[in-house]
Amino acid sequence: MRSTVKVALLAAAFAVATVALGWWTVPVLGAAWGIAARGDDRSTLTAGVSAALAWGALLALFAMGAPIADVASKVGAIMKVGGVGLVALTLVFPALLAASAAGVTSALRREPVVAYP
Amino acid sequence: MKPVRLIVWAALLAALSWVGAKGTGPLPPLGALLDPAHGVWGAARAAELPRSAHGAIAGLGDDVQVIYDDRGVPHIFAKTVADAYRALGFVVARDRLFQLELQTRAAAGTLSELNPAALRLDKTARALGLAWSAEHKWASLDKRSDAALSLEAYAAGVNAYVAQMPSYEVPVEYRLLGRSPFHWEAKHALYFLSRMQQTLSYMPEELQRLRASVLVGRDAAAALYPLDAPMQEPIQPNGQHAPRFDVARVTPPGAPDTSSGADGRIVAALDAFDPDGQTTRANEALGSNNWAAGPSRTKSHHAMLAGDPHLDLSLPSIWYEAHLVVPGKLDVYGFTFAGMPSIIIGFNRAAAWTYTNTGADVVDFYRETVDDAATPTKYRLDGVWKPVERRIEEYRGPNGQLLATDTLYWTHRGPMRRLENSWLSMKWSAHDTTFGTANFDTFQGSQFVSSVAEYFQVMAPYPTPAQNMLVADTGGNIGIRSTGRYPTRAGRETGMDIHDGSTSANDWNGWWPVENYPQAINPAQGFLVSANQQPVDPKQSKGYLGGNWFSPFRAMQINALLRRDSALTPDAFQRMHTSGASARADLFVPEFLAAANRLAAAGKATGPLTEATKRLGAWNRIYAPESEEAVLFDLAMDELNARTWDEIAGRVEDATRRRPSLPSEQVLYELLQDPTSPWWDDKRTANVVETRDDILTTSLIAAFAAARAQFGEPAGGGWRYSRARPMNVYHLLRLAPFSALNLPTRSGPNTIAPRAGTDGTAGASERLIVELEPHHVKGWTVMPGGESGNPFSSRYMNRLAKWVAGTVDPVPFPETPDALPADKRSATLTLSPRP
Repeated sequence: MRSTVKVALLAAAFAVATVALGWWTVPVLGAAWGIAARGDDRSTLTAGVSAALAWGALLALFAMGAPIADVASKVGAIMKVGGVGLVALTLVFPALLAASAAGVTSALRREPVVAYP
Repeated sequence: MKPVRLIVWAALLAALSWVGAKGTGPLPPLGALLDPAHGVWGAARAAELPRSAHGAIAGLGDDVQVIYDDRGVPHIFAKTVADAYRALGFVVARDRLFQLELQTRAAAGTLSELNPAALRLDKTARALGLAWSAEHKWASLDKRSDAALSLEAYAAGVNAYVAQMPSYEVPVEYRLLGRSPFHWEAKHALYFLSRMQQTLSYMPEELQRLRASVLVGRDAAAALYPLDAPMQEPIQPNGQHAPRFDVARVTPPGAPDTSSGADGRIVAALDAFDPDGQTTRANEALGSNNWAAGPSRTKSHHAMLAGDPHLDLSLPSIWYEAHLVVPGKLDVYGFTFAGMPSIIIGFNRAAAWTYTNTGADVVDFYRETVDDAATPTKYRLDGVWKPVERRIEEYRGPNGQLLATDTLYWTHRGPMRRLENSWLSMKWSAHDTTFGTANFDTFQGSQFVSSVAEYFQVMAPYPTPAQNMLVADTGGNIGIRSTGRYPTRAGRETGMDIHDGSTSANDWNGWWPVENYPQAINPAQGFLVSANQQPVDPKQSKGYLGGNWFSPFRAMQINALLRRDSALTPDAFQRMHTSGASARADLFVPEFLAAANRLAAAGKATGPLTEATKRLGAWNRIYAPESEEAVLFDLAMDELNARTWDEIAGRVEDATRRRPSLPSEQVLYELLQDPTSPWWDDKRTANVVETRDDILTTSLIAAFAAARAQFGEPAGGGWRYSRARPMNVYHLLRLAPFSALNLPTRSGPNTIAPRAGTDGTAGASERLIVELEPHHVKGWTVMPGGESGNPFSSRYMNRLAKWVAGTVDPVPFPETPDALPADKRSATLTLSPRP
């Protein structure tokens, strides 16, 4: 239950930040999450899933009444990834970006401190 | 283990961040592209206009109301003309922002900053001095003139939109290219005009003659590219009731001309002005039609006008349809170019006007004497050394990297290019800065005219590119004038040679007086037609206007249709637009059939010839989507041209030299009247001397074989013209998913609605019909696309189906905002002064 709430809140943060400031907030928030969720072995997964959910939700929100399928098929064809591929890319890209950023900060945070006498 | 994990995450983060911010390979920056709020997906959100929207423009005097009708065409209601132009800039930017930038870059020679593959186009644009010319004209413009102020007003509208544009409205092309919109400047309208000059008036016919001279001699070249058309159906009526054929013997091919004025080196130097090879494209690729009928020829007894300009087709269209209303001052509807603060082709409450291209000779070349053959700093004129203007041109790629550099040299005439140890300069009226604001003044002035006479008066100073300007009014008058500055050449009859540049006596010494322009008002025949044919019958000519005119096939077809109907209606005009009938086929099909019959009579006909003849003979000579024989005819004409003109159309042996474009088909028809001309001998066949009939029949047999090879057996359905030769309207970046391809139109080569350009990519760029009933002017329009440049908008190609079908939309022409019925409205935009 707590995990679900975490993912939901983080996804909301990703969504708001993306709308307000742009895509580059995804790695920034992901990194911040890696620091905040220290000790959580699943921090990278949480960040990745949340980012994907956020962008997926935004896509769904903006799809209402808009020709999203047309965009997917035509732009997907231009990029040679197909319509489904473009949608997948739109979900995988933020997921990996957020997860890797969280992974970096998480790994840095967990490095043991060596004390010298 | 942890350091490894850290390295892996860090590497992935770095790679994704890089791809997100910078892109990789052909991929644009993925972050901005995929961003669901601001990226490419935003194009879906921006697809449709909101029912109601507000905007603000600095300098606006009062609120402007814009009402989009049910076709998505904006009707702009303003209190002042300047405000109307501001609003026009705003709505055009809202719909066509990427197009504004792309066409400006095309003239500026900076397309390679978007895609390095465009370098050759950029080199042509700069070699021709398109941007140079625009810059100089802008610098010489009185910034307080009405023209300059209107350009500034329009620019304010464009930039106001860009400043207020939500990120999701950034056109999808910018997302795909990974770029941001540029800043529109008032002078960019001049860039666009420069680009249109290139399209419509850069036609150095001396190039064709010189290219042919070095292959078949000067006299033969002059016959292939004649000054006067052998088929006379002129724009200025000549009192005849049918075309006149001034057929002469086409001078046979002779020895190559190696004189100093026509050797391959000069041709190579002239080609250097045109790195992209614009001048070698197929003759008659682009053309236009217009026609008008006076009250004596119409059912309503009111004047009627039809406009039908042909250009390269694109999505979005080159035209933008709009209605500008300023109560008591301006009420004009029609087509404007994105970037131009006026309606170019259209109508108001009293008159309607439209254009076709004249194709006059406004380009000359001069051999210059310079101080240093390698890097000239001066050139000699009348015994005095004059400074050469030097300009280093740098071509940059998408990331700012240097792709190439050129050094361009200019004399007082224009750009100068090297010819081994000597130099050639070019004089082109498009570079003339003394025309001042005439282009804008005349286009803008035309919007206010109330009669044919007033239109002629307003347009008299119009400089270039020369246009056959057709106008009709509610008083029942019709008129046409081939308007543009035509140079007078001291001591020279034509502009077809390379001239000595060391003396100013060879410079142009003035312009034709307007009264000498080809023109007519209310001719006895009751109608007027232009379709790029020779404007005036040589028997009535008042001087050299140009040469190598388009074949008058379209004009012949239009004239024939107008002559046979004395109760013309808007419906009749609409049907004419896409009649599909071919005067070209009417002339050439009988020639093929006659040659085949003569061979049959001699007992020499083969099975394929008999079958091909039977099929061609069964054709009604109308290009329709279901036509099958039209495919055979097209291929036969291709074969006939190639086999006849093998002396000039063969393989290019010298890489530095281009071949001339083929002679116009009216010259081919002229040649058909001489069955044993040496031109008929196909030099590629050894020990055989062909005659006309040999070439006609072998062309038909070869075409039949080619049709079967390419499209299968005739009964298989592959010969359907719409399948074999469809029309294609490409997106500006030639992105297939954003394009409309394989369109089944009633178009063929040189039909009224032509199928032109490579792969059927040129044709009717818009169609206009106007009936000029006093106090009740009615218009109908269509275009191959729609108003929006957003490929996901319902307004992107909502007019295309009607364009394909050959129908037109009735135009709402409300005098006030309230006069546009609610069911005809799709959206509103209120523009207010920015505080």
